[in-house]
Amino acid sequence: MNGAVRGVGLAVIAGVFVGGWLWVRGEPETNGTGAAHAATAGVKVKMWQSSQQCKSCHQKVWDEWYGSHHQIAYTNPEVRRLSEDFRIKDCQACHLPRQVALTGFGKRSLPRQTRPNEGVDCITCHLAADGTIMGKRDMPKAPCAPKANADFASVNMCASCHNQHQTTDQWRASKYAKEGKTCHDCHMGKFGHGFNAAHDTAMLRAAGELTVEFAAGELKMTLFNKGAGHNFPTEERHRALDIEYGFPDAKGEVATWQRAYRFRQPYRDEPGENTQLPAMAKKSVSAKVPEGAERAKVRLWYRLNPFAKNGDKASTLLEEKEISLR
Amino acid sequence: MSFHRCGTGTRETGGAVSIGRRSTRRRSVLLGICAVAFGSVPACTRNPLHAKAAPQPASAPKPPAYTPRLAEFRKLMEAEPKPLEGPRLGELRDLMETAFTSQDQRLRKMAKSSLLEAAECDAVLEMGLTHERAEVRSNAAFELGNRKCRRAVPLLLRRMKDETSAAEPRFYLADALCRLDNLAALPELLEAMEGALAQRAAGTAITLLDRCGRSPGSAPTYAALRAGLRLLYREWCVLGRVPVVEPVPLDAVARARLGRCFVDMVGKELRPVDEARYVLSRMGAPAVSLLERVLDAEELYLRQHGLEILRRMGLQSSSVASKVRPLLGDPQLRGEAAATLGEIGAIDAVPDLLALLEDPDIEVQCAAAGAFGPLAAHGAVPQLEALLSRQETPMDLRVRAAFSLAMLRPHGPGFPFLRARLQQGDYHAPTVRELLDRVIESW
Ligand code: HEC
Ligand code: HEC
Ligand code: HEC
Ligand code: HEC
Ligand code: HEC
Repeated sequence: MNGAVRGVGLAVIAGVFVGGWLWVRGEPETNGTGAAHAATAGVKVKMWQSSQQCKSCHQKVWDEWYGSHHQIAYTNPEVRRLSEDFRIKDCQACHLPRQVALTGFGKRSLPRQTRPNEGVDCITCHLAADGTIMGKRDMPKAPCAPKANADFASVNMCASCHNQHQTTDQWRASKYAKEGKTCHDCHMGKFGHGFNAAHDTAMLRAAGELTVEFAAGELKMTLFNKGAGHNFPTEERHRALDIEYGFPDAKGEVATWQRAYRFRQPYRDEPGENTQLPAMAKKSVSAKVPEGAERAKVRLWYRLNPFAKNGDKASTLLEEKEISLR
Repeated sequence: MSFHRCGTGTRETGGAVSIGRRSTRRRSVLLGICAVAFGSVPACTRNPLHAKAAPQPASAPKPPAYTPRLAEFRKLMEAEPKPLEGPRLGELRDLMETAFTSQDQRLRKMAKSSLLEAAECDAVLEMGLTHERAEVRSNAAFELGNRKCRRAVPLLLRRMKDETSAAEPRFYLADALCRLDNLAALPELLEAMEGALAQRAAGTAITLLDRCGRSPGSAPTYAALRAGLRLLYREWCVLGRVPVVEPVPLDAVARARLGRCFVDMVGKELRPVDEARYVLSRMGAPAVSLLERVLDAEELYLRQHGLEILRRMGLQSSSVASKVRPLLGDPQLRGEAAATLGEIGAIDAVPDLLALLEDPDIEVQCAAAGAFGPLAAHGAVPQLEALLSRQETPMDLRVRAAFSLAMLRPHGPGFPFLRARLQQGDYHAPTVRELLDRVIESW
């Protein structure tokens, strides 16, 4: 639709009622001045009500976002299963949210019913309480006239949804907070609006560093959280990270892998304590070496859920190390 | 069985079978009302694009003067009984286990009579509702009902949410709730009539129907009992109380327990919110006066969840319509208020809802459009048809308009429109399916 502003006259009912709608939809021009809008509607302010509106002018951002976990938040089969197809109403507040600014930064967002395929979308993050677009800086000349908003540009924005299981608090307690390295720096820097993280192997590999030593007759395995700005793994109730080891036979095959350690925050009534690895922290574990073993292999597995086995789609092998025990 | 729950407005979680037909068509006197309404909407209304800041509809009702309410609910909680502690706790627990599980009948009888005479009996039985053994849970529920322990109603409901797999405790919870004049668990009672517990469930049904002046006669068939229960359930879904029986006001402990539900609603944890909603939306009329208090609460999440619970309660809470209406001017929740007015049968709100179709916020427009069907607001059919027929109308709004229209005009264009979305796969299928289900149930 050209010009983006369209008046929809309503049927005349009983001769007395005339309603009026005005939509701004479709593809506004990209002439960078907003003149078309002003000419059509005689005003600068228009209604932003769907991410579709941003698409044609911000195609690159759209493409990054489309297919991201933000975009699929309401259609993600994993989420639909666990939320009983969103019969558990509270899941909707973050997985199909109204704009964050409506309730306020750092506060739980409200659920919406429109745009089910758009999950956490442009509107959710960018729409200000007064109906304008928020950005990092003022750009009055741009057709969408973004206005600078400090909260928008800060961690407070993410905190509305990303502190249910303390990711934001973990970050606040880390050195990154002190250095001013925010969520955006790691999650948007390279990937823009893809917000890559737990479903991106490269990102996961950047988080941890596994070292293996053989000393005093024991196999010592250490994981260092060198790259995550919060615990590794963080937030999500299902994640687990395992260090496994085994002793290969002459053919180099490991008959049985044993788990040396699991990094995980127990969920609800699950027993155990939180063993996630905080930012910049190290954890070492040791294992006895059986007699006659000549070599050891150690693996670091990331699991999207704690039941995933090696080889499942929900398991990712992040690292494998082999050392000699001589 | 394929019934559905009353207060069908919002889908449910937790063990629910559903029952009965969607309510009563509130056939409208609406045409008249609407004609007045149309007059009151300024012709060729304001162009929302002219708005400078977060635009509000021209005729938005004034929001209520908000007052802090959370402290009130905290105060109510003070009447919650202290949990049992110390050696006495262990003693009573043993006594209960013996009374409900011992193989030795004589011992069992003795233990039971000491238990029932103990001063802390109600508290112990309440504890028994979450006991690991199903027979303890069943017996505890039964005894609470038998003793007319009204303060336990919120706990029995709460337990029902989690009692999803064991048929026997489920049935006894339903039985106890019936005795305590709460009919929210009639779907569970009906469920019990299908299985191994059929005879006992029939016994409960007969007693209940007798008490409500619907005596099923001397040798009723199961079919007759089921039909009687379904009707009774419909009545409950509209009235929120047991017909014929004089309602008993909530005692302080029950109020305290509901107070806790409200406090939980503002918390960060999701599960307590879900539980609070489950319990409150099944309390029937006794909870309505408490829910009314949150409608002008300063605390956003109290208002939000309050509206949602009222929506689920449907016609049971129609008495609060006049308190919900001002929320149509609430900057954050006017859409939710619109949806709630639809579900609680607030026909007087139709003019306001029509005005909201022009709200600058698409979310609010959709909520309003979706409210006319549940409201049986036949006067809105022309507007809905207009919305639906225009290609320019955003798909979200067309879908909601089609939903209401399909309820109001089963043979009109709404139903085929929704079906076509499924066939063409151009709108989120689970959402369409849910709307279609709801439409069909309403016919
Ligand atoms: C008619 C085209 C058009 C539409 C529609 C549009 N924008 Fe823009 N937007 C622009 C242009 C042009 C700029 C300026 C880009 C530049 O100069 O780098 C801009 C700038 C921005 C900026 C600031 C960029 C920066 O570098 O700081 C943000 C944020 C933004 N738009 C968000 C949105 C969102 C969200 C939507 C949809 C709700 C939207 N825009 C719709 C054309 C548009
Ligand atoms: C407070 C906001 C919030 C609420 C409420 C919420 N979630 Fe989430 N959910 C998130 C965030 C943020 C993530 C992504 C963070 C992560 O994966 O660590 C997420 C991720 C998930 C994932 C992982 C998806 C994947 O593909 O890995 C599942 C499953 C999920 N949520 C289910 C639910 C369910 C079920 C509910 C309701 C009981 C719910 N969520 C409620 C914020 C929320
Ligand atoms: C989860 C929140 C979120 C979502 C969803 C989101 N954005 Fe952004 N967007 C941001 C943040 C935060 C920034 C600032 C990034 C930075 O700090 O560099 C930003 C920056 C931008 C920019 C300027 C920088 C750039 O990359 O060009 C544009 C344009 C933009 N967003 C458009 C969009 C559009 C269009 C959509 C929907 C397709 C969208 N955003 C969805 C949070 C979001
Ligand atoms: C309105 C709620 C909301 C806001 C605001 C929000 N997110 Fe998210 N985010 C989610 C949800 C929900 C998910 C998970 C969706 C899913 O997997 O289904 C998620 C997922 C993610 C993921 C994980 C992606 C993956 O593939 O595992 C990252 C990273 C992320 N968000 C970063 C951010 C950052 C950074 C910000 C702030 C600029 C932000 N989010 C703002 C709700 C939100
Ligand atoms: C120093 C870089 C860095 C910073 C800063 C950072 N993250 Fe991450 N984040 C990562 C890495 C690496 C991963 C992958 C490993 C993991 O899951 O912990 C990740 C994972 C995630 C995930 C996916 C979790 C899951 O299980 O699905 C979310 C969500 C997330 N981050 C959100 C945030 C938010 C919100 C902030 C700001 C409060 C933030 N991150 C700050 C690097 C960073």
